[in-house]
Amino acid sequence: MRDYKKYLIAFGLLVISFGYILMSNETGVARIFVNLLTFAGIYGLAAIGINVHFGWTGLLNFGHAAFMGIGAYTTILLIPHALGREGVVIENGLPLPIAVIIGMIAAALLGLLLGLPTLRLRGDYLAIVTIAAAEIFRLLIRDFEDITGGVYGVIQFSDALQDLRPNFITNLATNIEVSSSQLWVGVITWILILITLLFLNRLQNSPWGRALRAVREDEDAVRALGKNAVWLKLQSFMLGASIGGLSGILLAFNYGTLQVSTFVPVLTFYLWAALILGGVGSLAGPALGAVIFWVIISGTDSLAEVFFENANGQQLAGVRFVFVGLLIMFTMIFTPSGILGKKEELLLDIK
Amino acid sequence: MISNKLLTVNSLKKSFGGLQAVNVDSLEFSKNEITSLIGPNGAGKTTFFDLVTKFQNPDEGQIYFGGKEVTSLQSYKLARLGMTRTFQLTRVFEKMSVLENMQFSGSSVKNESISMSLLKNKSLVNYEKNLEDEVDRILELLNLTHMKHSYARELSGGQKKLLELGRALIRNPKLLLLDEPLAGVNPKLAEEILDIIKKLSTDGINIIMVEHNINAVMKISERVVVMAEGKIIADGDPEDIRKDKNVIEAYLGKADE
Repeated sequence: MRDYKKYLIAFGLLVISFGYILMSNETGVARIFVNLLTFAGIYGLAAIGINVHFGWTGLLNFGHAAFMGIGAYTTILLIPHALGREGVVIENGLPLPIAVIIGMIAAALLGLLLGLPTLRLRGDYLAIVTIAAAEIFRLLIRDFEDITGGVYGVIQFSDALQDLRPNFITNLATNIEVSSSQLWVGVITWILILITLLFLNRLQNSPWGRALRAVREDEDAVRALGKNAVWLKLQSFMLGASIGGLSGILLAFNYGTLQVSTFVPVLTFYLWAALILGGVGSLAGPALGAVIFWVIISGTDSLAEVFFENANGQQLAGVRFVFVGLLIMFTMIFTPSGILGKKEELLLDIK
Repeated sequence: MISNKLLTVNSLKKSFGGLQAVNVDSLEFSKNEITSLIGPNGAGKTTFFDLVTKFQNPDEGQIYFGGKEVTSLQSYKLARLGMTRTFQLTRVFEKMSVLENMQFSGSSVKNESISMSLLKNKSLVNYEKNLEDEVDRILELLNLTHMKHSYARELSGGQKKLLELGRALIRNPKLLLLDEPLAGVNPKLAEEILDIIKKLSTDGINIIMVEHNINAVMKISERVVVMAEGKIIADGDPEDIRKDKNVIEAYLGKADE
């Protein structure tokens, strides 16, 4: 009964958000929606990865941007691309699907590398190490310019994905006057979210998922019952990291260029905001939270203009995050388990 | 010499800073006994449990379990050999159902591997079904059947103790270490728990328990080991312990003071 109410609230929020965007924009509504839903999907997928870490296993990962980054850089550098200040073209490369799989494996391996020394320790250490490692990763990418393009980034890799675009997507995009390449990235993103959720649904209700929940509750008890808590945490960490890697790849294709500045720490915190809004521990919660997050990010400028008549663009941009902050506050006060989270399994109970 | 004993510890030592928490020269536990470990607060009983189950590493000494040296094993590996413990403060998985608590504990490591879980083939489904039957049997024994689908945090303090006991039982342990199984439990439920412990012992499970309820200890134990300030000060059957001068001193202070 309560579940039914929960989904009604979720649906209502979506209707209000989309209705608001429809009302506040007279032209180019389709373009705004495609842009919003594509970004929301990518952030949602990344937040699903954090959810495996925190919602399922209780691991505090504050370095998700690094997993997204290593996934993106590994994959993009393995397919044809152009690099750096001079735009050196590299024409040879692996087929995209194989590069994507290698990218996800690279993210999982980074998870293993960070997890091995820290997952034996108390939870807070993982938070410290992940946030530091993410910055180290970003600075290394920036400084190894020969390999990664450094601050000049990587370009001309989008064709690997766009060549696979079916005609009906191109036609649809022309008809509704949106960017066909972004529409294609968006469609793929939401298909991948669906596949990921089906895959995770199977795992969540399995003995393995049960074991992760036990680790989340009490590691000592897990150990006393003959289960290897560290190994379970490592597996969870690698799985969530590889999902993060996948979303990083999509993010690169959505931008069309790969910039090191994309993977700054604040990205990780946007994902946490989406996760908290949507509901920690629930399967679809992070994706819903990401949509609401992006509605606020892309839709509130006009709302802010109502309150602050003479504000400039930069000041208005700041207002967005005031709204995000307010929404998180209201979420924590009225439904601390998030919109789709289970009240009984509330994780963010600050006593 | 060692192999006919279930658990043997040799010159086991652990200190925290200047405090010698445990200093046990030699202690053996044979098969098919209920042994109680008693002593004043701070005597090192729980630390002794932690050392034996490898939840803490001893500074010195050796531990043998079933004739094998296990001093360097990790706690979860020791648990797999058949040594299961409970905790002084109950540690049930609060946000999981009673059934899930039990299933997790009873499940084999192979069954809950990520690959098996993804495949979800017939053998896994069958395994889980048999496991649930086993859970039902134990919940029946513990009078918890009506709470099977409740979250563990909805249980009363005593019921949580029972669930923790059940979670240990489903693993078919060789040796069960109970850390204050009667603490904070009402007298009626305490009787029930004692009956269950007795029944387990007749079924062939060896039990070592730390308990402060002296009446219960004297009633149920076949052997009582008394610790004070980290050392074993008495070891024998309950009647002897009751009269032992050292024990009375440890609890009440010296008579001539």
